[in-house]
Amino acid sequence: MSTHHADLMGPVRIYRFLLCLYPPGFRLRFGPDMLQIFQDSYRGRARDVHFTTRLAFWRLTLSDFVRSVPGQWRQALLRPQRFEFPIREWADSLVIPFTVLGYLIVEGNLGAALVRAPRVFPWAHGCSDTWLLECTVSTGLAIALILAVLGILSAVITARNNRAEIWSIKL
Amino acid sequence: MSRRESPGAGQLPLATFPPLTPAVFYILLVLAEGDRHGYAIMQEATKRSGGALRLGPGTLYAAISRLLKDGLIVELEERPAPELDDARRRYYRLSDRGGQSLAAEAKRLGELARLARSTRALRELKHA
Repeated sequence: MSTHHADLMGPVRIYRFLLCLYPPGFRLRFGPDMLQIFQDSYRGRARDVHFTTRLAFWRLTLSDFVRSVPGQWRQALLRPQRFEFPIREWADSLVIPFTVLGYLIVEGNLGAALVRAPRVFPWAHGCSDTWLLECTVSTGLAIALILAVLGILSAVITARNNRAEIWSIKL
Repeated sequence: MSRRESPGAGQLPLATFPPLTPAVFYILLVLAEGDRHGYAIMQEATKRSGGALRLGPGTLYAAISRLLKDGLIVELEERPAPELDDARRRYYRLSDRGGQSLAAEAKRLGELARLARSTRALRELKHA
């Protein structure tokens, strides 16, 4: 491996990470081209040893990234694209945010129902407020645990997909 | 080279062309002179804007994605010969609709510039 090529490895690795944050449809189609352009651009800048030049390059790259990622996600959510594998569609989209949102809704409704329990359920008349609160919290924790496992599972599948795509691009 | 038709081609009404962003305008302008791949578009756009427009890969391909959907550009199926260029590069070409959109934008900008030049207050500012 040449020194020049070795110099590129770190920046390319960072850019591969950044690419993972784009929506899957956009990343699958344009990811390899973007990575290649990044490499070409960086190679041009790498000849310049000045720190300020490299800093300016990274500033441009990051501002470009910050500008383009939200727009692509917005488009992906407004016009969802079809993926080859259904499981990927679930795992690599918004499972984690939806999971959190779902948990908050479930927990909120459960909490409200239990607070109103003495009026709704005759058996709850004798229960203390502390018991009702403990019941709410423990049920919420159980739901959170299940959803966290699902979230972690989706994150693992997402990470595996990303690694398969982005890390397999040959430069 | 043969074209790969984008699925969204033909979605914009022919009669009206919405104003283009500077990035899109420069991309279309570069492609008006011939087929280019992404990196060449990026470099040429920066050069033509005198360095004022610095496109990054994200902004460039976001614009290209939008242009493909709107049918203003098309992606060419054939790749360059390996001895001439990297065979993995995708080339893009301005479509007829893209040419019309570029012409409409150039006309609009020309009219704006003419209007600005004819404004008395602006002439006074220029001489001040």
